[in-house]
Amino acid sequence: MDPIKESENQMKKHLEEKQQLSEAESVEKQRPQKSPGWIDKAISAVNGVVGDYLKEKNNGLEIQMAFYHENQPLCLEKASLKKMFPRATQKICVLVHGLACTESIWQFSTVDGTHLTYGSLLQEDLGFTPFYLRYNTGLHISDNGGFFADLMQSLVESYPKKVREIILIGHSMGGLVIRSACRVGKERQQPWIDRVGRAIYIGSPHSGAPLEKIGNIASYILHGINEPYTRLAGNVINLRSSGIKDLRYANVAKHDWHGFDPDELLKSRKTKTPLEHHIAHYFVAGAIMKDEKNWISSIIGDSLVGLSSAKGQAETENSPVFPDGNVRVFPGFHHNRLAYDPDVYQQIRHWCA
Amino acid sequence: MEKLKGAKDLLQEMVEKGTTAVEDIHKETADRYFNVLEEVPLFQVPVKGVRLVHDAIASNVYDVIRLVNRGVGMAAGAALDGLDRSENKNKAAATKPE
Repeated sequence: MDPIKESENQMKKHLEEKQQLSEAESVEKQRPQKSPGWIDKAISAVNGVVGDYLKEKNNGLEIQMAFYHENQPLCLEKASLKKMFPRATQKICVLVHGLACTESIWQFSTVDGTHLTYGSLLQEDLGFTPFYLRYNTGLHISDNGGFFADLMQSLVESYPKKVREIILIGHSMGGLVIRSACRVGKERQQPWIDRVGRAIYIGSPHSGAPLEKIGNIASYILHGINEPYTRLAGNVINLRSSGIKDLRYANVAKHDWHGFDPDELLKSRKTKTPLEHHIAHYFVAGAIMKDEKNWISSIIGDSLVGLSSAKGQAETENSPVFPDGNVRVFPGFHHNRLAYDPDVYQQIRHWCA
Repeated sequence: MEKLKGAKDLLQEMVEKGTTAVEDIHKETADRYFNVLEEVPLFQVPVKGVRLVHDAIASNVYDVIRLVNRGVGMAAGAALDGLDRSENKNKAAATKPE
C-alpha cells in the first residue's frame, strides 16, 4: 500500500480513537479549552482591515502580537511557561495565522472540548510543543516579521527547556510573516533562527494575491472618474490596511514598500528575499476544483491564492528560488480548509517526521 | 475595557470622517448646479443669494452632526471611565485582606 495512504488510514483511526476517549484520559485533555469567541474574531477582522490605523491612533482594539494559550496572551517568563506547558519538550512548533484571523483558524474538530490542531497533533505524534501566534494583520508584513523575530527570540530565551528544533507553520499571510521574520532574524543574528529546521507555508501567496490586485485596479479606476461619488468609493477601498496592500506582490521586506505610493497602479517594487538555506521549505496549495490542472484551478487556486503563487513558482527575477519537490497540492480544497484538514496534517506530519 | 473604549473611539472617528465625506460630496454636487445657474445673467444675483444661504445651512447641519457625535463620544467615554473606576474599586475591595 502507498505509504501516504497507509498513514492516512492510521490518521483516521487515530482521530476515531481520540473521539472515544476513556475516563482514564488525563485531566488536561478532558478539560474544555477556551478558544476565541466571536468578539475576538471580530476584533481580528477589524485589525486586518484597518489595523495600521488602529496602531497610529493607539486604539485599544489593536491586537498586540503575542503567543496565545486558551485565548489569553502568554507571559514569556520561564516559571510561567513551565506552569503552562508541563509537557514542554525541546522541540517547538509555531503556528502563524493569516489575514484577519485568530489562532482559531487552526481548529478542526472538537473532542470532549479539546480542540485539535496541527500543533496539538504534532505534539501527540512527534513531541513538538505548539505555540500559536495572534497579531495585528493590518500592519506591514515586514513590521510583523520584525516583531515576530523578536518574539521568537524572547520565547527561546524564556522557554523552560533548551530548544533544539523549531518548526514554523504559516497559513496564508502567516507564511509571508514567517519569511519576513526569518530574514530579520538572520540580519539581527538572533540565535533562534539557527534552530529552525522546517518552514511550512500553507496557502501563502508568495507571488501576491489576485484579489488585492483587483482592489488596486478598482480604486485606480474609481479615482480616475471625475465624480465625487466614485472618488469616495475609491477612497473607501483605499482605506484597506498596509497588510492587505502588501499582499499585492507579497512584500516581505521594508524596502519593498517604504517610500513608495501604496496605491500606485500595479507596480511591483519587490526585491529578492532569499530563503534561508539551512531551513527546509515546504509548500501546501489548494485548488478549488477537483482537477488541479483545470484552467479554473490554475487561475483562482484555492479561491483566494493562485496555484502558482502558493506553490512558490518564481514569476520574476526578484522572486526567490523555491525548491522543487517540497510541494503538495490538495484538489477540491478552498483556502481556509487548508488550515484545518486531516489530510493536510498527514502531509505535514510526513514532512516533519 | 480598553477594547470597549477602542470600539467607541473607532465608531466616533468613522462618524466624523463619514460626515465630512458626505459634506464634501454634497458641496461639490451643489456647486456644479449653482455654477451652471450662475452662468445665466438673469439668475446670477438671486442664485448667489440662494447659494450663500444653502451653504450656510448645509455647513451648520453637518457641524451639528459632528458636534452631536463628539458629545455622544464624550458621554460614552465618561460612562466607560466611570465603569472602569467602579470595576477597579470592586477588584481592590475583593483582594483586600480582611
